[in-house]
Amino acid sequence: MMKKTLIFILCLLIVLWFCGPVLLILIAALTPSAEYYDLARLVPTKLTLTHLESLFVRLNGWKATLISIQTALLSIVISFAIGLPAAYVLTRYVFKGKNLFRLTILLTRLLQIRRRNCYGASGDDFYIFHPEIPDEYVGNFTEIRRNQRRDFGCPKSP
Amino acid sequence: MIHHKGKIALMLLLPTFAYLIVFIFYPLVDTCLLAFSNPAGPLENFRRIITSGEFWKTLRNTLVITGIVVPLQLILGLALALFVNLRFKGYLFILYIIAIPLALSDVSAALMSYSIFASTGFLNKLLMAWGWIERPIYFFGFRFQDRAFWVIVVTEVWRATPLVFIILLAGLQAVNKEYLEAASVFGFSPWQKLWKVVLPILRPSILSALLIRTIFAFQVFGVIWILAGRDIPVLAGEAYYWQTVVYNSNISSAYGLIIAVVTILISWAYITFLKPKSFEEEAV
Repeated sequence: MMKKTLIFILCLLIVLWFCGPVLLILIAALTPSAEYYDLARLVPTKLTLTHLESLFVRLNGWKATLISIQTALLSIVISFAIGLPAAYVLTRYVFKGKNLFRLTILLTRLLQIRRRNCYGASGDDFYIFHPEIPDEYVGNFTEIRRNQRRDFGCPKSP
Repeated sequence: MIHHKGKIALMLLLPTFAYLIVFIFYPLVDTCLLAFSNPAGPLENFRRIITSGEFWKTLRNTLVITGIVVPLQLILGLALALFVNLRFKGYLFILYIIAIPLALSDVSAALMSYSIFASTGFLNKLLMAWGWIERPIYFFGFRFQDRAFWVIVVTEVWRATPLVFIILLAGLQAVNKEYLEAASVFGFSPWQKLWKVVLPILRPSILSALLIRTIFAFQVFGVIWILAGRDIPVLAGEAYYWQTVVYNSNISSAYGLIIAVVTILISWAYITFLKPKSFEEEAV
């Protein structure tokens, strides 16, 4: 009995620790701005979809989502096409330099590689912000955004 | 027949070779060229970085974050893995709950942490609702770097402990029950079983978890960039900054090479000092 209670308490702590933040950001996303910035309001009185709506409709979030899905699917297909044959050979065949080959593949996870003149397109640099998001949504990242805007060839924001 | 088989193997390996050459070796060589090219001499870029004063702060930050985060993750991950491996009723549910952060990017983890620790965030609201504090505690901003540092540590621990947990749990499941039964017959206490039986068998898993986590902790970037910007500079953040804000690919590449060299040194140290003993015996 004692042991069961202990296990239950530990499980509860684990669920709180790992689910809590996810739940909190979900609530934060649905809380009206005025209530979110009101320090005296711990639990919002009502939930709203306006933030989600402005993200997906006005700020073109649906486009970003679509691009993410496209990128993910394409990269899965390509990495399987390249990786599967090599994995098959590495498990089925015995050949000289097999370990070296395997090590080289692992080594790629070790290095942070940068490439000349390949901003954005190379995938080496990631862009947190969509080029069409107005600067006032970005806050202290304006300096980075100005440069990203330049890369994208976007018009300067007023 | 053997010759024929060799041809097939070669053909199957070709795509990977092509990938490695185009996406790894070419950029690697190019990075080296960039890092060592400067009108004032091949080592000028490195001299500029090391004498800038910023560099030692950057290196120290990276080492300190790695040194705090990785051991915490290892201890927590091991504790979680041992707990889940008790196979109590509903342990699979807990397993899935722990795996949640694996599905999140570092950027979303950082934003979550921001929504909790911001001045109007959940934590401040909660403490004020309970009457513990009068006005909000600030965790972010130039004046509160120490606090932001701990928020980053908590975020990193929250985000990456599940990876350690998964690796160690897989290792634990491979522990033969008969060893533990034998230990019971010899009158080992649970604590002795952990130290004398489980941990030695788990050694290869611990080694790979440590390796992976240290390498990634050394490249930590997204979480810090969002929560502290350049107030808490780290190596990977500097490489990004020099490339995308200053547009100096040479300095950026030099930073990239420095990260690579330090990670290789650390990995080498791990493999040398933590190598499972049985491997060496087999080799002899």
